[in-house]
Amino acid sequence: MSDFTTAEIARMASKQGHTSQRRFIPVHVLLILGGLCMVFPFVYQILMSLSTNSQIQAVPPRLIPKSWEWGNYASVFSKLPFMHQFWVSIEITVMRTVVQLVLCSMAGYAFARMRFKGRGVLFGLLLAILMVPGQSYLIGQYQVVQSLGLLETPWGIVLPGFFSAFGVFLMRQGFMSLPVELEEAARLDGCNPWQTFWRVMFPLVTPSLFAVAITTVLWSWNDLLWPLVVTTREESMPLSVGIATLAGQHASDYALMMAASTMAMAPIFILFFSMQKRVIEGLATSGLKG
Amino acid sequence: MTEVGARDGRAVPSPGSASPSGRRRRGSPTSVGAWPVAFIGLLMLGVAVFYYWPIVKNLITSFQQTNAFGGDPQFVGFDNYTALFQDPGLGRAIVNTVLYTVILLLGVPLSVAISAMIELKGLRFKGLYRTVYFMPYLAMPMAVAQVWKILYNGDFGLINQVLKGLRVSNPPYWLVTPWLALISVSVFGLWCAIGFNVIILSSGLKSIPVELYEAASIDGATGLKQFRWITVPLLTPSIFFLTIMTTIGGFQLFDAIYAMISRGNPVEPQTRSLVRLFYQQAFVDSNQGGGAAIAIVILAMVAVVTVIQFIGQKKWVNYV
Amino acid sequence: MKRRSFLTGAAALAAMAVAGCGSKESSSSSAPATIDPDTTANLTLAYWDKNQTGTVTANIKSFNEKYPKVKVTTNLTAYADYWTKLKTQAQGNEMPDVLWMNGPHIQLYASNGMLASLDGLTSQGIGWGNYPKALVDLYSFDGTHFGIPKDFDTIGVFYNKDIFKAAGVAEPKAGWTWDDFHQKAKAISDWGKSKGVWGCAAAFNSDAQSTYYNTIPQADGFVIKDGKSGYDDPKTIAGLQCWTDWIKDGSVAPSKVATSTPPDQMFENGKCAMFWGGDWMASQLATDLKGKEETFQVVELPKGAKQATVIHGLGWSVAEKSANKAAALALAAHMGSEAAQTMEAKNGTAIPAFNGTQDAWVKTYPQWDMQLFVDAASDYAVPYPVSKNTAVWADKEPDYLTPAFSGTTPVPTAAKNLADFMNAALAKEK
Repeated sequence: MSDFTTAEIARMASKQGHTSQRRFIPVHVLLILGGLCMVFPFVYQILMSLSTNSQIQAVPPRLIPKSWEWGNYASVFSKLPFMHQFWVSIEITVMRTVVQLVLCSMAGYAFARMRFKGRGVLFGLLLAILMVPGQSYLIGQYQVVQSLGLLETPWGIVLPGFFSAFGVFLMRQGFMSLPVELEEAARLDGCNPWQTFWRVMFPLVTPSLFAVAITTVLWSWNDLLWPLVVTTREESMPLSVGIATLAGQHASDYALMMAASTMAMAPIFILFFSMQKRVIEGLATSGLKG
Repeated sequence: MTEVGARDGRAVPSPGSASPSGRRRRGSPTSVGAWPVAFIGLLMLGVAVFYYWPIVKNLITSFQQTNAFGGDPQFVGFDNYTALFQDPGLGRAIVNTVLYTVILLLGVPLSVAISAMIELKGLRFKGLYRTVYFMPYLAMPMAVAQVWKILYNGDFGLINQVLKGLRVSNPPYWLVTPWLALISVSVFGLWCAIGFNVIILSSGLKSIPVELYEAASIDGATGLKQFRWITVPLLTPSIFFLTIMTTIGGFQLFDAIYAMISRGNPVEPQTRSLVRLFYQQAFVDSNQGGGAAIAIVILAMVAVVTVIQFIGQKKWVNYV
Repeated sequence: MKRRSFLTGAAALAAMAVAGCGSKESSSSSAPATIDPDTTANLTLAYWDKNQTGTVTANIKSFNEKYPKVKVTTNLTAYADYWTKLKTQAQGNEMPDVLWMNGPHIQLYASNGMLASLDGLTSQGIGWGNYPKALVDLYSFDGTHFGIPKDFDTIGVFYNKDIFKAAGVAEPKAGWTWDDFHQKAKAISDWGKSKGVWGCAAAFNSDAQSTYYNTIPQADGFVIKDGKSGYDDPKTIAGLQCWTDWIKDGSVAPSKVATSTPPDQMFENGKCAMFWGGDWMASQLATDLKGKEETFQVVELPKGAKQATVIHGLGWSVAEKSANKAAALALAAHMGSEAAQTMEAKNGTAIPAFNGTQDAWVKTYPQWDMQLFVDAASDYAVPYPVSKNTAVWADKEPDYLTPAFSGTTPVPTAAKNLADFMNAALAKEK
């Protein structure tokens, strides 16, 4: 990184001279203002989750509640089988992520590095499934899962999500960025394609694996329509569906809704903050190579 | 879309490939018998069963008239398409979808500016900024949509409270005013998307080799000139990637309007997107053939736009 | 938020007296008579109102006392997704065995062979004469019973006594008219302008059942008759015009206000003095305004050319393709029994359909005049409009009517366009 942008931004913003730290002040101001826009909805959500309905709807609304209503969180537990649904969410998220990592990295490798007839066409066809709105797959996928006898099971929820075109795309980009020489060396050492893939190449695409993992985790955790349709018992539903059910019932009980969604989102944020660096690195790499 | 594949082994090169190690050869070293089948067979089988089959079934249904539950199909030729193109709602849905997509695309240059600032050399709190801008991407869309709905509320929403505080008389009812409602939803969509953009672009920026700027500085180019002639060109692959992803995502607008603009909202009919139209036909009106036709039209439109983007990229995307 | 939520509109009933009339027993009986107490089966039961979970569970428990080996799994889906899910399930032949049905959907599911005939249930002690004929008719198609009436709803006006007092306006009384309503609403809106208080709020753009489905029959018009739309009838138009007039002079909150904050929320927060709502509101208000029961009351709808309210009710239906149809029929019969509906009455969420159990429901809310909802059903309730594919046209009503209510399109023009659209949709049903 050079000071290209520094100079440029600093000049745009403040017409100040060169390398003093002060020249960053306008940049910080802009970034903080933007950052507040990013964060504020979350802060407000948490504040509302500890408030009451009438305070939220007051004019002007009370930002800081008179007293902290922790009871909103307790009533979420009484209105949802929260722990059950939480575990379903964890279960389906782990299943999808693990299987996707395996399937997508293998396919990504093949599309990146193996030469076979129709590869380009096949890859294009694979990406084409991203262009169709998910809702139009609903009935067809339901009928497949039903004929496999998997309704009402975690397998039924996760199965269609195993096959991800976007995941393959990310992994393909990851493999393409690795130098060809590595493979050649492996081949000279007598590795077959599987060994080359598994022993040599796979360990090198960790950032891409993280990228696929985080996108899968997010999507799986937040996925709504599909699990809603394939599950019927409250205990076999993931949290996203539980929250939607609650929202349908208590749409204008804002405080309760905010408490419920805070609880549903918290695990993802905790996960993210605990592995923040790798996640950002992974995603960054994915896009970069794409 | 075959363009992607046809690119043949060559990484969609990126600023990263500007570095010497990134220079890679064309072609694929491995080409052996049945191995590809072993590597992609299972995946393609799953894709065929869970995606191609529904699409094919959908295509067939689009030429049929069925009962409300998909039974009793009758071949009707292009009737469903004819009816669709005569539906006055279609034009508006296309306009709405395109408008939403365009606003989302405006987020790309905005994200370029944000990430350029974050990645300024010597700036402190980079990591914090990256995290903060990334956070909306993590949120459960259904849940944060409710927060935004409250923020937009005409009576007690915080946005209008602030405007009133600034002496704006009669601030608008954001989600109940024609056009403004769709724009408000788009701003929410933008908020959700910006984090992903910033992360992708930040890494693009980081990989621009320092030497380029140093060389430019020696030649006397500074500031905006460097930004214009070095940064932007070298970011174009990332920008292109985001453009493709944003367009595909924009055309699938449904959740955000479904969550924020309820059925009783007077502007609801004027804010429908293409996918909302599909939902209406297939699940509310029980017109499976009509719904299937919309799905095919969406597929065709996205495919055309994507192909155009891939053709157009040759004019502006720089692969070093 | 409407706890009973048939949000999209709702249902149809014959405009019959509710109490006691109609005793036509169905003659055909195809379903198995009774099931063995030792029958083993797994059943799913689908419903959408979480507030009724207690009643549903209690009634399953009493069912299991008779049939201990039938395992019933409940399936709660929010109303917004209930029909999307049901339709997907129906296409996979995986419909829940026993389910809640409503007016707009009954004919769609019945005519496509998705629901089991309940005619045979007479041998299990279901006497169709025990339910309001209007409801029995609603759940019949081509002379066959496809649903056992579960409950019913009529509409009234809830009002806030404190606001009336503060504004110096006399409280409404039974027998009042549109003019009385208009005058009071206007007076309060004028008084409350600076305070953001409206005379009346009503969800006329999202909830036809609580609003214009009442004023239309009050004006002596109709929505659907003999497979034809009534929206081009001058009397029907008069039943729409009234809302436009009331909104125009500020008596009723305009749609942008009522959309941003639902009328029931405005009422609870003291932002409107009156609102039009169904009996189902009682359980919500009882919870949300606990301790303030004395500050509000309910009164019958004002009279137009005549007195009228619309009536709708839910039904229990059984899936035709149920793997355990005999057990499912037994469960549905149990849910329709007097004992089960008495349980519903005590829960207080809905007026039970079984004749004679309504008193228990009225007594759950001693502080308000809930009897009027029961009386309305027997005295002046009118059919709720449905057809074979109700959703197609019912869902489009707001598209045509909202601009009319807000005054941007003349009511007669909008109504005429809606009538044309509706007649075309009805023609396609044949």
